[in-house]
Amino acid sequence: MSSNREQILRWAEQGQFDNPNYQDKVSRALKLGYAEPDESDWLAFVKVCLIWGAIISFSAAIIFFFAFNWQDMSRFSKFALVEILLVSCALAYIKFSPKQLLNNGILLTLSLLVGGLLALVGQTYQTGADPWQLFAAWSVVILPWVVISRANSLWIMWLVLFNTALIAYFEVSDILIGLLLSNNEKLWVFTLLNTVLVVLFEKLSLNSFPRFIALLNKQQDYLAKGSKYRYVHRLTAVFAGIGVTLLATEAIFSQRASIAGLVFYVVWISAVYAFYRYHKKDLFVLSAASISAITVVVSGLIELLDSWLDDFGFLFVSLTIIILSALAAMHMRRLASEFFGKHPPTKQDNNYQTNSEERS
Amino acid sequence: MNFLNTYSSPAQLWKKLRAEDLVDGELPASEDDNSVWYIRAMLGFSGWVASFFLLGFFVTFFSLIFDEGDPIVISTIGLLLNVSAWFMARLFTSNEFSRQLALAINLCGQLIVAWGIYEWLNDDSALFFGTLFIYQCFVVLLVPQYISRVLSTWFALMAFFYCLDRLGIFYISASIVSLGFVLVWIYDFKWKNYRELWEPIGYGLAISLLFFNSQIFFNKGLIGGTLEQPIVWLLTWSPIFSELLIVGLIIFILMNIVSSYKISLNSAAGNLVLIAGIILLFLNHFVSGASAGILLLVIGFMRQRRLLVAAGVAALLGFISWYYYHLEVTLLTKSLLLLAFSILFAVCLWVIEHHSKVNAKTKVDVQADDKKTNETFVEAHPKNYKITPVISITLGTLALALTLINIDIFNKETILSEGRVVLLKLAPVDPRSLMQGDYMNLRFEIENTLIEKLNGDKSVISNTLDSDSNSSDDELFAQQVPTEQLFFDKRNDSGIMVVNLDENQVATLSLQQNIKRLGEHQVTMKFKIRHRRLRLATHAFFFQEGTATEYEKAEYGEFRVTEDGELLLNNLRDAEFKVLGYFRPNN
Repeated sequence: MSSNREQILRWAEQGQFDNPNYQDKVSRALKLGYAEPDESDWLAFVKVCLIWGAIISFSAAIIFFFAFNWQDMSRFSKFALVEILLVSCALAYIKFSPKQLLNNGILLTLSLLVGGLLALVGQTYQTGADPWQLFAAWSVVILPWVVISRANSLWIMWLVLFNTALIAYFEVSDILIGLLLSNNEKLWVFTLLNTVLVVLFEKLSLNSFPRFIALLNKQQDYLAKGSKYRYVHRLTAVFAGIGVTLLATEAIFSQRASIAGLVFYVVWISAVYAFYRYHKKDLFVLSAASISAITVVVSGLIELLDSWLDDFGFLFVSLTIIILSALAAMHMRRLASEFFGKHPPTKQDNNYQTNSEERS
Repeated sequence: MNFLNTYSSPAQLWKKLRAEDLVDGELPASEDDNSVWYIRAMLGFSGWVASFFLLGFFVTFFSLIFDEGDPIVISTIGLLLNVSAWFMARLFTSNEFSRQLALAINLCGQLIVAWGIYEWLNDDSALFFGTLFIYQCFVVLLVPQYISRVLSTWFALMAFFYCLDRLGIFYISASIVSLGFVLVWIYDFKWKNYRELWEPIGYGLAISLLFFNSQIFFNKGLIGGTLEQPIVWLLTWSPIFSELLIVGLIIFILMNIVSSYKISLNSAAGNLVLIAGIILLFLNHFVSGASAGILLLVIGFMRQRRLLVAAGVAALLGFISWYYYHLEVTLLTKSLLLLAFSILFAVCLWVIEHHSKVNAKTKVDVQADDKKTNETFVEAHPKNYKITPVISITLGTLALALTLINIDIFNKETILSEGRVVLLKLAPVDPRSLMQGDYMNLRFEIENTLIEKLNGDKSVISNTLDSDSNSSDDELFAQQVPTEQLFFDKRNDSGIMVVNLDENQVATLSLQQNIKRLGEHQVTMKFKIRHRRLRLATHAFFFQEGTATEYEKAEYGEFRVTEDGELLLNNLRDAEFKVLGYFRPNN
């Protein structure tokens, strides 16, 4: 699956546009094949950049301002300032609510500012609350906004907050190493919660989401207005995958960890494979899953070799990785041609047609 | 972003181009290019890990050679590996296994050559990194393997970065990488049959751009004062030179747009380009760290590469968090700057909106065109604001959140106004405690006495003695024999202590830890165990950025304590019990 531009450049490489006047042909092909943005694309791009630029720098400006902790400003004026800003954002939300993009931007601002307010309370009263409390409170408060926004940006922010709260709750500072060293239960909780989220997200985009949200939005498909954006699903799957992979490797290497981790891993990875291979057809998740599977197999191999891990042991491990990854890649490529090879007329293609009609 | 998500089927695209006589014949068979980026990422990652095991093999197998450390022999082994990778990549292109093997061998060869060069020079000087850079450039050029080229480009540029860093001019490396990145991608239509070379290099440059940005931003000097052969004029001029280079790049990109769309600078579009240029130059001047992200974003959009756009977004978001820790200017300045940018963006947006609205009014039959822009930005018609369920959820959530937070604020204020003043002597604060100039680490003397009591005295009431303890630290507390004194709840790692106050309200741990019967001069205080340390309310005292010196004389922490032991840190006081700073009392 490549963009129009990649496709045309590949043809150029094959010599399809060769003489006479190659350069002219290519540039015409690029314009014609919708492989170069036209004026209205540029305008839309600039607008999106300006909106997000304005929103992000505004929120950052507010958060930076309170982090500065200006002592000449009384604490009540600080609270008042944030709360007034929050209320004005809410009013702006009502005013602009038909504009989808601006809408999400405002919800994002609201979510960021609430975090700022929570941090400000902690800073003002020197509460020294455990960091997880801040993140947990923050992710709970903004959850309704995230749910109604149905926007990737807000969901991604929420996911990061949620997992930060979780990891801070485990009182580990470093995600990977910390989780490995911490006790097994935490890893289980992390993995299971993220797995539940994956299931939930996949369920949501399968049109069986509780009716009320669908009614609220007058749309069938919940997440991201269509199935072409799968950032949220994928990110959650990666989180869960990291957790389950660590569970398995811990079960392999650590004497104390139970074998249950490995058993669960096998079940988990098989389920993921079956679901994303036959049902959802997501090659990204499958590629990530194969990295995970290779990691676990190689860990098992290293544990088995143990004292044999000398020169030829290294060679053996190295070759195993090479063979496994090559096999995985061959399989993925086959799946790729199965998933997007046939190119049924898709939504994008229709788009392309309408666009080209507009131009002509 | 319609444009970025345009994926037409090759057949359709071909038909369209043939209709315009740009190509002829049947749709060429696709050359098995199902290499979506994540398959490549998977291969690249695995190959990279495999190369380390391969290195392990070579180092242990030829341990004599590597122990002896003859640079020529070691480098030769590495080069031989590169050559065999070259052979494999040339001869067996279609075989996945040999491609992957070539990748691992090639990367391993580079590691061994680096080892050899290191043995030769015996240090990690500029010369070492410079040599490594030149060698890796050759590897990139000569070994025809896609993933290997991406990774090697990245590694080569790392070497380049460290080389310039040793010379003290690392600033330049970012702008030179930016230059390379822009040139490679902007002329993508000229790649022709060098696509297999330039595309991976382009991605390698993009990865470097993504990573350099953070490094350069953070490191005022990786160098740490060990500059060899500092080229003085370069040293002083490098930041300016680097900025000028980026300015040149921005102008270059805009000129490119102007010429390829044949925009006249007097037209509306031309004005837009000029405004964009001015904004970009401003951005580059004030927040130069953002330029890499912007370049990735713009070039990615122009060249229809979603991966580059995503990298650009990541770079910009990353930039904001780095910016927070950046110490050259205060947070207040940064805040105002960001606010100014935000307003600037909003104004531009408004102008564009206004402009297109005027245009829409003058032209009648532009509906088709407008439909497209309106997908992202639907015009609002003046209307009665209807409260939809979505809006009520939004407002309800906000109301609830504000209520809860304000109640919390009210409770805290009550503690501050009604709580009893208790002073705790500060233990010497370790010298590294001043971080970022915005908070100060605290340690109270009473913590030590309390810890002693918890450990030594065996006077802990541990009301939950279930032994699910697994860290040795917890055991310290868990294994105490419950007698009647200090109250400590193991499950929550928290407890309550009784302190005696002297005439100055300074607290010391009481010998009688009976929380039921308190004397006139006694107060209960809650404490927690966190991160193997005892914590009374907080370990951090926040103050205005840059006012750290005011608090250096701190001797006591002033707490406000309620009757049930809730406490808030309120002030820091000096040896004469004078309140330091003016953070709290009047505000």
